[in-house]
Amino acid sequence: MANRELLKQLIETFTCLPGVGRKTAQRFVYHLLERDRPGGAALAELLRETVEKVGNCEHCRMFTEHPQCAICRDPGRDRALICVVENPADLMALEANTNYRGLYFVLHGKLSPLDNIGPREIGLDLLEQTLRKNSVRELILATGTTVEGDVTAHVIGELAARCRTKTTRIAQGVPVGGELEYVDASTLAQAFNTRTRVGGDGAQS
Amino acid sequence: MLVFEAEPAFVIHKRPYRDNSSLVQFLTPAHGRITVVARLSSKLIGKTLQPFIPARLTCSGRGSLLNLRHFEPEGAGLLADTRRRMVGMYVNELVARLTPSASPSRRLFDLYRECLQALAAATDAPPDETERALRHFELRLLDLTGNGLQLEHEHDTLKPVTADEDYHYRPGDGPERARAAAGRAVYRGETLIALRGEPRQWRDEILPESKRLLRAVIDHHLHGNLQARQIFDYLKHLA
Repeated sequence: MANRELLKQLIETFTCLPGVGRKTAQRFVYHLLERDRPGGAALAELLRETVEKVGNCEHCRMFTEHPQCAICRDPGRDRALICVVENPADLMALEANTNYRGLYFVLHGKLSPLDNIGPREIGLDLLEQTLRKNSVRELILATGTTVEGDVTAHVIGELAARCRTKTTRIAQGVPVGGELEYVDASTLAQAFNTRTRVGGDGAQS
Repeated sequence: MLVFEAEPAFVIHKRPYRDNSSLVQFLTPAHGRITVVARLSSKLIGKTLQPFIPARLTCSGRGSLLNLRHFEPEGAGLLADTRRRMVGMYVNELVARLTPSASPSRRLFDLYRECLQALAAATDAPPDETERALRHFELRLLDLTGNGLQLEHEHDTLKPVTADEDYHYRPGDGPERARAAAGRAVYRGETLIALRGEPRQWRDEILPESKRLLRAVIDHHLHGNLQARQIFDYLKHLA
């Protein structure tokens, strides 16, 4: 009886993970019990240690078990560049797909009044300290293109202006390989309004 | 089973739900403020389910939780500029926190749409049409949710409000004659009388005092729990 209760609790606990429903959780639990008890024990121990020890980097708020994350500790990084992202997954995407070699600042969310997320929750007090004490050459805003992401970028832009830091925002518009007729109205309008110069200035000599 | 088809709608708020779905609050005329489950497997729906875009909504389902079947934007968003979007977030928070869910109101829907249109048309140069549009929206929203301001007479003596007197305002009751050293906010009778009329007739001078009055009344009804103001206050602290 006691075992059945433990099983039930473990299955329910696994469903706290995104994408894991009751059936998947049950499969995980039976797999660990039937085929990989040492793996289960290692998972449990590592989970406990991770939850206990991993906090936020004191500079960029990325998850780390050290006072500073690996990127902030890396002497090869350009410390005068900071890229602001909404969450750790965005940071990983930029690391994997661009040649960016500056630092990051992770908001862990975006301004959203109806989710009770304000400037304090996304760490703007820490960002302000960073901008004031470091010589940051450029702050790159890589927040999403939702209304909340847009407002978040605007507020951080105002903060950076107050700290006399140059601010840029990653481009928004037609996706690579996209046909204009299939692009939605808002994206097309945004792409058109933020068009960039191509070639020379077009003046006749 | 289709519950309704091609209903005019605006997105008020969207939050993740389970792995690949969102819980989306819509404002519609015939069904009021409703919450709908939207599965975001379709890239198009994910990109266009954004606030301030006039759209047509089709939903299916049984019981209180509906499923999104189709969402068709009618053009680009009304608020393209970020500053206006920030004000729009405040408007959406008022709608979400002050209106009951699933309470049909064509007048509320029209008020909301007209407010967005007024915000979109407002210029940054004085006179401040954004402030005028917001005060009008707040006043009418309070009316429609049964929290309308009583601006006619002193609630304790029933004497009519006069333009040259000063008043305190007690939310839920109305104005009362201002007393010296009462330590409470004071509003001119002229402002209270003007707010009974049409916004286009409001003099610019009454707008700051109207803002204070409506802020106090809304704070009273929401117990000060209005998060969008934190963003405005933060920007003010930066300025």
